[in-house]
Amino acid sequence: MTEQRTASEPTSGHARRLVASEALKLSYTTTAWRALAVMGALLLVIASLVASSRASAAVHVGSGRGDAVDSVTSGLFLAQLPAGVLGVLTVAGEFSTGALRSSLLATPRRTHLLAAKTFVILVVVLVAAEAAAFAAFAVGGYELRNTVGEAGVGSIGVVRCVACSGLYLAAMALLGLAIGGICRSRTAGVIGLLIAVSVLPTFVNFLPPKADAQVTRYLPTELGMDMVRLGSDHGDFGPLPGALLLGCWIFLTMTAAAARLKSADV
Amino acid sequence: MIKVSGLSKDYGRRPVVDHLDFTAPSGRITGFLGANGAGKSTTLHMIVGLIRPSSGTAHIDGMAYHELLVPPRAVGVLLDQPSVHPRMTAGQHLNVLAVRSGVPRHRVREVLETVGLADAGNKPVSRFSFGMHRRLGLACALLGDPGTLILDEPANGLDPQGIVWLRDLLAKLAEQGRTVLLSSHLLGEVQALAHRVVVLDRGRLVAEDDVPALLDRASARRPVRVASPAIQDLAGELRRLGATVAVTDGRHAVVNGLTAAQIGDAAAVAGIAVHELYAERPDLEAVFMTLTEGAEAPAGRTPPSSVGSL
Repeated sequence: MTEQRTASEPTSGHARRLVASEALKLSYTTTAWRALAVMGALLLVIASLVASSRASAAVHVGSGRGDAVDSVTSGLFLAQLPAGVLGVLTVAGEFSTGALRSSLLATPRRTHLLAAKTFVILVVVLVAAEAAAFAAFAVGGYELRNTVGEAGVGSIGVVRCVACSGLYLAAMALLGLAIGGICRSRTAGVIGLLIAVSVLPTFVNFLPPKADAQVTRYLPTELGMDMVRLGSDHGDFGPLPGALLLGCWIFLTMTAAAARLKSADV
Repeated sequence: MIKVSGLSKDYGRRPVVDHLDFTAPSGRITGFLGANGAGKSTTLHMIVGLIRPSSGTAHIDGMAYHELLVPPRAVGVLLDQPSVHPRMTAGQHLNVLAVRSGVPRHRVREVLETVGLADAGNKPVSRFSFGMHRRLGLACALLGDPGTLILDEPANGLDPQGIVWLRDLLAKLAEQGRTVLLSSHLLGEVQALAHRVVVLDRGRLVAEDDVPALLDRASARRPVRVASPAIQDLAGELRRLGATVAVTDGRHAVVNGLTAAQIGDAAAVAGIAVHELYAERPDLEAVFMTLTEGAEAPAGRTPPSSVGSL
């Protein structure tokens, strides 16, 4: 018979075991591997397509560097979907299959469980997305090698754009995780994600022009564009404020998800 | 020891569990009995923190479930509902639980063997039969070698050999001083498995006692058949003691209101020979029916008649 030694164990061991078990669970989930593979493949294929079309249309030497960055960021619109879906499935999948009951029996402090899932998804998607983004940049640069002398990682600005592309995908995975926690079902979560990243940006076009511009710039997808844009555009926030505002979105949705999880009867 | 105090849950205005108090002491197997919809599962879910009680508390060895830092090492729980990701294999699910609980990985192999799933450990859970699901649930409950076991309908889905195996296993665990709380609507099973019973009817506690004591109390209220060559004399004696006696023929009578022992004693004092004395000993099912009948079934709820199909 086991005595209650568990209660007096240091909290660090508790957190480590919780994160390790969530990471192990994710590694057993075939859907997670597929989502990451699709995300990476979309970035690479779109980078290659965009770069090759730019290469044939290039009019002057020196535009290639921006084109290589563009070839990476062009893929974000599609690659954010598998990243976000992976986030949705991490929490909503457990609600849908009932696996959440097992998780909560092992970790009754529900915010701890949500924090561990968030941490694991952040690390896994960030590593995969950064690798894919830099690989896509390399592919784009290779395709554009004839239009520009130094298509490689030339300036701090270029590195920032590519790195922020990976960061943006990780952010969308976290947004998806929070939406999944709010919706509590896979289907509703994926629909919620699609509304946030595709429907909402289209819908605001129907607003009066002035309001449209004011609202649009606060949408997660627009803030993502602010993070990855090379140079500046009229009316954007810039990379750092864009990233911080996107962080606010994640914080707010995650707080709502935590509140929903805390009150749920499962 | 599990201690439940004033535990209630209502969805809207309708109470599903209504101010429930009971204890499940350590070293004993406590059966938790009730018809479908009586609130058994809701109560067990509240004890382990999956459902938030409207009021009241539940403590396991003095601690609320969420206060346990690594619950699987203190409390093993078998739920009545699927709680495993269908794409995972049994071994994977147990591995995750082992890492979470800080239990060595070789325990996974051990518990799979204990529950008879050693050969199915690499199969996705979605291809499991109902009985295999239940066995996996038991494996999960046993993994952390916990001092308390909370099992929702553990015999459900097991074949007869499985039920015998479960009975032996639980008896062994209780002997080691562990607390076992198991729910069932299969009354015969609880009678065979449990030392004590807690009976729930429409969210309310109707009985909490040791199984023999409960049966004794119930048998005091049941008729006793008696045969005597001097049945009329005996009937007169017994009526004098306050019993209701129905003489059925020249030798037999059915007595209500006295136990078999009291009848035998009365006959001895009066010097009347008794040839047969038969107290119909009720089984738990009959006791359960007596305890839960009478109360009116609220509209929209499972009527008590459904108990008959259990």
